[in-house]
Amino acid sequence: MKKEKPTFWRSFNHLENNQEYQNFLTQEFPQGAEQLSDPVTRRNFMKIMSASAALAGLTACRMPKETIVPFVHAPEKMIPGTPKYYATVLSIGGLAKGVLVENHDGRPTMIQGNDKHPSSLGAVNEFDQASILSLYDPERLKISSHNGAPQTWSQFETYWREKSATFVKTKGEGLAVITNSNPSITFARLQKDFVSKFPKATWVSYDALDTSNIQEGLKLIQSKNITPFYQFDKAQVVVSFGHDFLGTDSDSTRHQKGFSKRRRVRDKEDAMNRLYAVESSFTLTGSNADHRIKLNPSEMDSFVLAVYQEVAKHVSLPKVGGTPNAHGHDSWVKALAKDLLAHHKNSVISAGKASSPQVHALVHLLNQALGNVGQSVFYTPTSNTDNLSSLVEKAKNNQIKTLIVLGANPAYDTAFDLSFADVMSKSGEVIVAAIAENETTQKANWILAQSHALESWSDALFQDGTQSIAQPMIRPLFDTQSDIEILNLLTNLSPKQGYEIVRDTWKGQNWNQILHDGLKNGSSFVSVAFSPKGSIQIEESKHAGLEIEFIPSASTLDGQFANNGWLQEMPHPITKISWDNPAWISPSFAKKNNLKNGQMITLSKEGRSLTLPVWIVPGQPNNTITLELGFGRSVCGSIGKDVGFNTYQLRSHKHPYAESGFEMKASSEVVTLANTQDHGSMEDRPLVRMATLEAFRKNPAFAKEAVEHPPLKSLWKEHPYTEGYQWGMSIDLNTCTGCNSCLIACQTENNIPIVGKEQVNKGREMHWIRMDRYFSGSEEDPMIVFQPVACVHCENAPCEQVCPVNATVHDEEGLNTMIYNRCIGTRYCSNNCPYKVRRFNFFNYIKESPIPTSKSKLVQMSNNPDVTIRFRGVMEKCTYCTQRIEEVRSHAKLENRAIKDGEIKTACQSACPSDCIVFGNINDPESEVSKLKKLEQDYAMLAEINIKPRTTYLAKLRNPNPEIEDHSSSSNHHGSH
Amino acid sequence: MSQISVKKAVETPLIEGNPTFGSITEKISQITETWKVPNPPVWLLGFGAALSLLMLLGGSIGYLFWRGIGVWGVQIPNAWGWAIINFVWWVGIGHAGTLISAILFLFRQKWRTSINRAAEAMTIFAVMCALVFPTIHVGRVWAIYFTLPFPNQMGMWPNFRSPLLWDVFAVSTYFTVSLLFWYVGLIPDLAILRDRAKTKARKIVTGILSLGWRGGNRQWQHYEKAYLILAGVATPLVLSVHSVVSFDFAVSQLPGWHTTIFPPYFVAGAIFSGFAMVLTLMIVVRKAYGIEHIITMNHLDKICKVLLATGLMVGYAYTIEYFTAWYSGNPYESFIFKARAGGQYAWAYWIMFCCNVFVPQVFWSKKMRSNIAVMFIVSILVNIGMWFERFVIVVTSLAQDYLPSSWDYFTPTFWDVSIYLGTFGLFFTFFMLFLKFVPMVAVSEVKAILPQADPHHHEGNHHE
Repeated sequence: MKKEKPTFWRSFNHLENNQEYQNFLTQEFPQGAEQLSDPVTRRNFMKIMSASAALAGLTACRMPKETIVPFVHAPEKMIPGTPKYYATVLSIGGLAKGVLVENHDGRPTMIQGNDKHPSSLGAVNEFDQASILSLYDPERLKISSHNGAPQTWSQFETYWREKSATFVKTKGEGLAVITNSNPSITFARLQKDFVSKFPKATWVSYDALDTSNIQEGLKLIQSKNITPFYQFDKAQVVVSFGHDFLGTDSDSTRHQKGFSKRRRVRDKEDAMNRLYAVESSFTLTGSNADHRIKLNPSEMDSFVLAVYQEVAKHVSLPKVGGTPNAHGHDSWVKALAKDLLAHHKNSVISAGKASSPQVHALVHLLNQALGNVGQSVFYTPTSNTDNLSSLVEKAKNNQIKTLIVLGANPAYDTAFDLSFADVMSKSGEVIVAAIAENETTQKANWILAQSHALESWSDALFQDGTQSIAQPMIRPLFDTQSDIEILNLLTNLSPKQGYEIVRDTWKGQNWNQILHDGLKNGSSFVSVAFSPKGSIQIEESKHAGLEIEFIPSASTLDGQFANNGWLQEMPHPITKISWDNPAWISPSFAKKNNLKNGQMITLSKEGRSLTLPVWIVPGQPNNTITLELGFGRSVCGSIGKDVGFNTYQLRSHKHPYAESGFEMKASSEVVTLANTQDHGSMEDRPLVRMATLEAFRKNPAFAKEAVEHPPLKSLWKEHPYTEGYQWGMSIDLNTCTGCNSCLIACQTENNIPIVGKEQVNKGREMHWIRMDRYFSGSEEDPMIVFQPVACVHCENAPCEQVCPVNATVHDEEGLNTMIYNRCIGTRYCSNNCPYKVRRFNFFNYIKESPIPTSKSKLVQMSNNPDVTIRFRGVMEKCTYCTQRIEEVRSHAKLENRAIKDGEIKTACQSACPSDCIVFGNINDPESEVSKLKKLEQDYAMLAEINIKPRTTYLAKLRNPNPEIEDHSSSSNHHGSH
Repeated sequence: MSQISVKKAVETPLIEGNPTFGSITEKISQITETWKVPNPPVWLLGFGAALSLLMLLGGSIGYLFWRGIGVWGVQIPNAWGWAIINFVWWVGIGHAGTLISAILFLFRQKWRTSINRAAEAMTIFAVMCALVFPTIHVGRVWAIYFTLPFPNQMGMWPNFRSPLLWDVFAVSTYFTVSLLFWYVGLIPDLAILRDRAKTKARKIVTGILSLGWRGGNRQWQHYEKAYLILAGVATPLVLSVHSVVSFDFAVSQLPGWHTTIFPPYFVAGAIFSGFAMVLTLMIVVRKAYGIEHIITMNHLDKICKVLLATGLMVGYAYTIEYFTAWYSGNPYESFIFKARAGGQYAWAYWIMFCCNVFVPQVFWSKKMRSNIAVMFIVSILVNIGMWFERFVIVVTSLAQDYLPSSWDYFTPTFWDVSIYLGTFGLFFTFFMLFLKFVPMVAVSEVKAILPQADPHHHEGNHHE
């Protein structure tokens, strides 16, 4: 041990570094996540007591030391400390998202939207942003291997040269490739080459979040391979049949942008769109709807038919067979149809990927009949996806000699009845390219270490025809190659740089300009005319037993982000649970079966069964249990391993999103689930102030009038805050969808640590901005409202008055600042904060993190160098992104000008896909934020205690159809759980 | 006036058994001089137990410093937990001693002399225990000196608007004055020990500590003046220190904390708990050391009456808070009081209410006030109740404040408990040492209230 340490070392860091580096290299299979726990066993106790008694005098009072090494040869045009921004494109869930990546001294630190790109329009979602952390995941594959032995790329090349020679002879007989859908143009080109080289090979592209029902549905009414492209900014009336376009839809960023455009109300004369949502479990779309109907999944088809038939009474629509059933909402359906007809060419009807092909067919027939096609709904070609089951058949007959898996994880995320483990064991040889260890690499012969998207050259095609080039932000951190490079190697047998491969695709194009802008505009919309090719028959819903609905995870998507700590710790928008995926049950189901939160149940049907805890979610259909996919990874990095429950085990190939006939057995065991919001009721407090559009028009000042209070007098002369810049924020609750994008943006920007399940359960999550979620109305049919809450920078800040050491004080621009060096951690400020937005470093969350990888130097590369890392024992909170203010200020100063309105964007603001956060100088009456604050619906939460918050809210509005009288339009608040 | 007091003293002698000056000196001084009788053999056992708890405290604090505040159950919103509860609880206990010594001295309550020394010692040790908590509960204990107003190169001063800073001054002043007061009272008794000392070491130590006391007339004159002045200084401190502690809560804006009744309510509660602790300790000490004739049933009876009175005061405070909450029309305030009595922490509220309001009512009965077992149990229950009072104040208000989204339930951890228990170790270690090495009764003061100390003693006797 002693010998390994260098004789001369410059700092303790050097010593530690060495050790860490050693671990880093040797630890191919890192150990499972240790939890920060205090197991007080007798031995442990004695150990700790004696150690701490001995060490009591030497407590760790020293900050960790850092060594800085300057460049010997500085790269050109690089100013140390000044970030650069590069346009690129990220492909998550098969969708190309144009982004701007902030790059500090050669390392990407933050992902923001590219406002020129139609899929982003300047915003990003939480997955895009969290990709940064996945890039720096120290548990990624660092080197390729063959049967456990590390291999170089040239070794693989030699191997494949030999292997492929035999396949060339057989034209690819026995060769199979599996990928996830990939919007890359170059990838598609190489795929074509591969298939022409090995024509008999099987090429399967699948997604765990399968969208084939959409294409199949459209095939019922026309013949092309197309997929719809919705433009919600073109619709006054929006109807969603289980389509969570504001939430888990991969294109949600663009949808939110468009939807919020028609949702925003500034003046009482302004129009506002109306959203009808018909769904099973609560989604973000449902919670933002003016009218929501909850149905068991099996009831959806007949309900859509009921809407279809109702509309068909007034416009000509093709005949469709089946029995319509409004499931008790007949007047609702009538009113909806009337509303749709009144908004010709001005509505959108959409259905989610879970809906049956028939429903999709009806939806598009309706859109056509209502004149929406070409107005708010467009169609774009899509590639035909092969069926995974055909490959499975071949494998079972031992027809597959070599199976290549490129980036996908079929051993985890395919349906249980495909039994993919068998496929792998029956395939002669398995080659898996992956970014990190997963269930599929575990059973592979060859494991190829794949580069992260931010390390690779690539390109992508967005559905509307926009093409983009993806450029690497950093050299591959490990000995990895990108998917394109690997595919090129597989096809052409000789390695080639990703840059050259992509350049080949883009020959003759204005490369530099496209690279700089991040896109090349184009249109790929096709004109369509729908008429049923055969008879469409809506089948009678027949269900017995419990229904199970499978939904994508809000934090891991389909499981690919399982090892991402930011996302795992992000509370689910609806349940507010982090680090878990309990089964959602309705309150009455819980009552009937005597279940309580966290109680374990076993769901079973025909040989499959899964035991997992339950969580009571108001607004859940009574006979439906909702399961989130993407958890319970058995082979994964230490963050995602065994977090939650693998619900794929219950998922069948035929019914990927909903299936009935399950049985439930309750056990008495109760487990702890880490949820960040225990209390769902607003307790009749005027926190989120809400009215219907109609009521708002009658009394625009309703929000201000919600609280009566005596004149607000201060004990002392208040600081006037009338000079210079005075920062303030306005948050529009009307357009906020509750999507969590701001939360991850803040985490990325401000180096907010993850604390792990146990700490979250103790109420110690560190998020500076949190998304409060309240239920109102009845338990069975509630309404959800969201409210993002961060430090509101009170002018009369209660936190400042009680800090004994002046560690939190106001600056002259109205920011409530935190001086970490001065803070001694009395936590009095938190107690006196009426919003409870202050966060405390109960432990040294970086160094002593329950997440073993948090202290890795690699993860620390994701940190924003403009923001201090906080030590244990200090308080922290939202700073209004003071580092961004200073950056802009220094630019403005250099140019000898004032800061322009809109020049500073806080991280949450820039990420927000519905543009509900506006930041600026409230001292300038012309600034956008000042104008918003002058609106009549502007209100300050808790203004009655005279704290003068700088963040104010614009009241939430609902636009219910006056002809529908349902529970969700009533605004009386009842306590839920 | 003197006529009346003399008469009273004669009617019910404060010290029973008609001891002489010498016997009292002998009785009390002897304890400090020998390991044999009257020292009870259980002393060693008690001391050992206290010492091991003290080691638990040391170890727990070491672990706390090593790992961070996170070892406790504190969280957001309950950023304060047991540490602050224990702090207020111990400060409260530390009220009785100075009250007995100073205020009762000013009011010429002569019965105080038998118990004031031990009560003051209790005060000092309790305040020491209390001071542990604000020190260790900060996140960065190595920077705690930032709270002190000292000139520094940063030109930074503490925030004089923060009640926590007032706490620093109030409690440290109180501790200093209490210590000084105790020590001044000790001087004549230390001189007695010096005069009786047999070993060289004892002679030197007591010689230095007794500051050259010879008991001359002029010394007594100065001494009594100094004692009077200190009593005068200490008296407002008794009221101020807990008022200032209550400001930690009252000055904040939290529903349930932001209440003007807090200063008197806290002072009453502090006296209540302090007297309860005195009662607990005296019942044991007088029995163990066989000084029942010095600390008499009469003393205990008076303590019980104080308990009854202060118990009614806190009962009034508990009740009037509900009236205020209702009368204010403040929805947040009304909510928190409803939640206290009927919410998730109702169990804590009702423990508090029963122990502090209902239980002391037994002392309306003279019979109960002369029943040692009852008194002992009540005194313990009162201190449990007073701990829960602070629990109710600190935790219920934090757990459910303005935004329901941040509400959370507070659960203590092992380390919360171990540090609390550990402070009992600190307290009893010092208290056991005090019992063994310091005259536990103010010998010279007790002698002064013996009938024979009265210059008119013989005269009076004669008259009878």
